[in-house]
Order: sequence, then C-alpha cells, then structure tokens
Amino acid sequence: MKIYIVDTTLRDGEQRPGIALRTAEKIDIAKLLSSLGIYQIEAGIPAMGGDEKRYMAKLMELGLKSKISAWNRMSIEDIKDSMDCKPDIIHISIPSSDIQIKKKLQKDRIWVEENMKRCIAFAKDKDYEVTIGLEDASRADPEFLIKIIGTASLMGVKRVRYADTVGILYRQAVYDRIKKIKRQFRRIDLEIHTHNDLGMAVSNSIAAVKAGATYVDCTIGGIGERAGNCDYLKFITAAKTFYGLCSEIDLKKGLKVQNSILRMINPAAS
Amino acid sequence: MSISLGNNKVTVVDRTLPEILSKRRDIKILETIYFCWILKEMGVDLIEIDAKFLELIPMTPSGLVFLLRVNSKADVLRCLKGNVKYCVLSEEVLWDVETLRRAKSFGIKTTVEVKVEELKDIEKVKNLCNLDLVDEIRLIGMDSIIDLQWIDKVKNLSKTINKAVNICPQNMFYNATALAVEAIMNGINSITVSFLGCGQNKGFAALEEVLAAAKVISGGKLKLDLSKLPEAAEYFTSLSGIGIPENKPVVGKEIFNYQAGVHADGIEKDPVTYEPFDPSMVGLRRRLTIGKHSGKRAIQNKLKELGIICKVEEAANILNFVREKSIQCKRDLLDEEILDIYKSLHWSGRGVSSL
Repeated sequence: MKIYIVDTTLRDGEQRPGIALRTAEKIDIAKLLSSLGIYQIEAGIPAMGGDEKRYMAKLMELGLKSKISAWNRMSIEDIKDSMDCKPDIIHISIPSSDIQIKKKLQKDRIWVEENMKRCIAFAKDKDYEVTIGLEDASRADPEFLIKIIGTASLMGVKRVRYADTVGILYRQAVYDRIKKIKRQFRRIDLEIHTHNDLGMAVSNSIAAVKAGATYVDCTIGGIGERAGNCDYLKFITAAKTFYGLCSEIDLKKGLKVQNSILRMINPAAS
Repeated sequence: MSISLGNNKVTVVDRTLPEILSKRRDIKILETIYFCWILKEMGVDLIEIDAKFLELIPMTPSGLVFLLRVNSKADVLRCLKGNVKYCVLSEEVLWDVETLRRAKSFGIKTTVEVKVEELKDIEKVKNLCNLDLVDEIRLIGMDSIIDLQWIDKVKNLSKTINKAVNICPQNMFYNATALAVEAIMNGINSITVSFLGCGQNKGFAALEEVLAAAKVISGGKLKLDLSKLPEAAEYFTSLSGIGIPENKPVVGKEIFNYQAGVHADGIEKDPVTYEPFDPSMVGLRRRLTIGKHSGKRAIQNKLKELGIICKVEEAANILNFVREKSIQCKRDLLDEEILDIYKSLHWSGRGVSSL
C-alpha cells in the first residue's frame, strides 16, 4: 500500500494566528516541500484575492513535481478565483455536520447537497480534478456523509477528505468510521485530515490508514488552527514503525526541510 | 477514584514529579506541594514520588496519596517513615524476595513495572517469577502497539494472574495519549501519565490530554474540574524550567486564538462551530486576533470592540492595510496598530470609505 501525503502547511498551517508569510517565502516553502517528494501541496485559498492569488498563479508557473491544489469554500465565485490560478486540483470544502450547516451557513442539508453538486459540476466542466472535503465529518450524521459521498462519486469525484475539523476523534472511532465508508465506496480514495486538540492527530491518522485511507493531510511541525494538525515528521516516523510505510522518505532530509521551513515561519523562535 | 466512565472507575497515577525533580538542584518545596494539590483536584489519585522527594519533605502532607518509586531495600523503610502506603518497583526487584516480603509485611501495596514493547510481550508477563508477592503490574512502554486486541490481552492477563494491571504508555511513536484514552474507554481501570507527557525517551501520555479527551468523548458526563490547568501549567514550568508551547494541546495559551475569515465568521455566530470544547473547561479564553488571514467581519468586530462602528466597505479597505502590515511584520497586529490604520485612513482627508 502506498501512502500519499497532502501537505497543508501553506493553507491550514498558515491559518494559525500569528503566522503571516510573504509571497517569496510561500514559494520557497512549496519548493522545499516538493523536494521532499510530497504528493500534493494544498497551497492556499485564491478567494482571499490580492497577493494570495498572484502567489498561487506564480507557483503554478514553476511546474513543481508535487501536485498543487487550491482550497475552496462551496462557492462558484471562490472556484472561479482558483481557476484563474490554474491549479492541478480544485478542492471544495463541504460543511457536513448539522452544527456547521445550521449554525455557520444557516442553511439545511438539501441546500448543501444541491450547492455541492453545482460546484462539482462547475469545476468538472472545466476539466479539473476535483476533490471534496467533508468539513466537520466527525460531528456529522454518518448517513448524511454516505449520501453526499454517493452523490459526489456519481459526479466523478474520486477522492474524499474526512476532516476531524475540531480534533475530537480517537483512533477506535476513526478506524470504525473510515472502515465503514471504505466498505461502502471501495473505489473512492479516502483522505484523512486530523487536528491535534486532544493530542491524538498522529494516532488518528495512523488508525485511518489502517482502515483504508491512502491520503494523509499533514503540516510541517504540526502547525495549524488551535493545537495544530497532524505533524508530518511524526506521522512518517510512526507510519514507518507501524507498517513499514513511507520507506522512500528520508527522515534526515525531512528534519532539515522542517527546520528550514519553521525558520521562515517564525524567525524569532529559531 | 475521580474518573468514572460508566461502570469503569479509573485510578489515575501521575509520575511527573520524579521525571522533573530528579535533574533539579533547586527544588521549590511549597510549589511542589501546591502542584500536588492541583493534580489531586483535577482527578489524580496517586502521586508518584522518589526518594529525593522524601528527603526534602520527609513527612508527606496528609490528604494526598503518594506512591514511592523504590530502588533499594532502604527505600522500603523510607515508605514507612514517610507514611507512604504504595510503592512501585522495577522488574528486577521481582528477584529480590526479601524486599518484596518486607514491603508486604509492612502493609505497603506494591506495583511492579514491566516493560512491554509489542503485543506478544503482554503474554510473557504471566511467566514472571514471584508475581504472587506483588499487588499490581504496571505495563510500561507499548510504543509500537496499534492492534486494538491489546485491551483484551491486558484484561486476560489481569484475570489469569489475578492482579490489577496499570497501563503506562510511552510516547516514542506519538501514540501514548491515544493508548491511555483507549484504555479507559474500554474498561482498563488504572493508568499512569505525566503532566505535559514529560519524561525520558519522549515521555508518557499527557495527563491533561487524557483527562480532557475523557471528558469530551464522554459527552461532558464526566464530572472533572479541569479549570485549574493553567495554574498547574504555571507550577509545572516553575518547578521544571520547561516552557509550555503556545499551541500545546489543552494547555497552550493560544489554542483558542482565532483569526482566519471562515473560522472567525463561524465562531462569531456560535463558537461550537470551530471549537472542540468551551475554553473555560480548561481555564482558557478565546481571543480574536487580527492579521493576514482576517476577514472583513473580523475587522468590523475588532473595531466595534475598540468603540468604532464601520461599514463593510470601509472594513474591506482597512483589511488591505492590515494584511500588508501583518505580512511586513510577520505577526498579528496589536489593537493600537489597528487603530492607527483606521485613524490614518480616516484623517487622511480621503475618509475611510473613499479609499
């Protein structure tokens, strides 16, 4: 089994309050990540406009080995902004828990599903590879998750991200939930996105791999919202130990790259 | 027994003190005792200490229950003198029948610490010599165990040898908290942890993470007051000299700071959208910060907090300058800096809305 790392240092990582990277720094970080053999770099949110959009377009011109993805809210306007940058992958985040749907969007499940269909169709029509992210999946109704994965699958989406947005899962729960989805959608690739609020992001990602997830979201140094995300080097170390996976990844080089990136992110701390 | 998950009553042992005090020369006695009291208030049943602790505080404070790490026969006598009723010994001491019998004759409850690395090691424990002379087995390590079968194996071991089993996962592969949480969620009734997970060889399961996880996963049914965690963190830093990273799970001072547009929008509508639990549960507060990733509404809210009402279009203009300055400074902006931007635009003669 091969594990594909999706690095989100430049999106979820940079969102951590206190971090503000310059365009040149983001480009340098993307180059370093690509040199590590990272499969996909979630490079940012073009809908932020201005510098972010210009940086993403510039990044695409470099032709890095890693695939570059742009993160989008479930909005045609956001997706248009991403398309202006011509990323390899358009990632659309689908708020999937009732907490997110009712309290944040102030909509209902039908609206979410219909809007998701419109957004996927819009991006697919322009021949983009589309992945969807089930935001706050860990607090969502599992039946609703199955329904929207089914809908997305019928529209040609081949990969779905399961996001433990607020970091409340533990590995037994991760294993059971990923296994259940995998059993129902054998042809869909699953991607796990964990947060470290209870100190279990690495363990949960490992459990997801055991259950059949083949894409794992990480950030360098585990930086991210609140207590952060799954730490890249820690995950690779654990994956090598537990399953002999990621054997092609050189930990020494990883450590060197991590130090360089963390120096750019927070020069005062280095 | 402070943790009660359904029918499972869990004993929590904290081993922070031997881990942090053994290397220090300047031990602050009063702060050490305060730290112990906070641990107790948060749900710790047994506080592990070593001989050095008893040298400094020969009579242990009443109201707290201690477990002495015994390294020699002389330490058993220290237990008696210090009124310590529990001790933990290393696996090698199992050969020392005299020490075991002595502890038993004094009515001291003994735990023996056995290293377990893989699943198959759990089976081997039942073949150790003189197990009948100890009251409890502590399984330490388990770093490489991922298979959920480990829970059943531990329960079987406990049944076969008719002894209580305590779990003390180490954190070599970043799995310790998950193992400890898994243990208490699945009927294992005794765990050993340390504050911040501190300890040699990448440490142990972090006390604060395990307790917060148990509370969150049980849906708040677990009556456990974790609001003194910031105080415990301060004592920990003072005693150990170890600073706590701002984003450390559960105790990091900045874990409830928020900024990104989509998060700020959600939290303003209802914090439950982007928070795993209310910050007050762990004695912290949420804070809106303004920087590169802020959105227009966050600017409006921050200015409102500072006594200024502005329209969305005005906020959009201010935001451009905020982002520019945040990137230039490589940090979030202070309230004064946001006010300066507002004033410079407002008083430039162009007016904020005309920009």
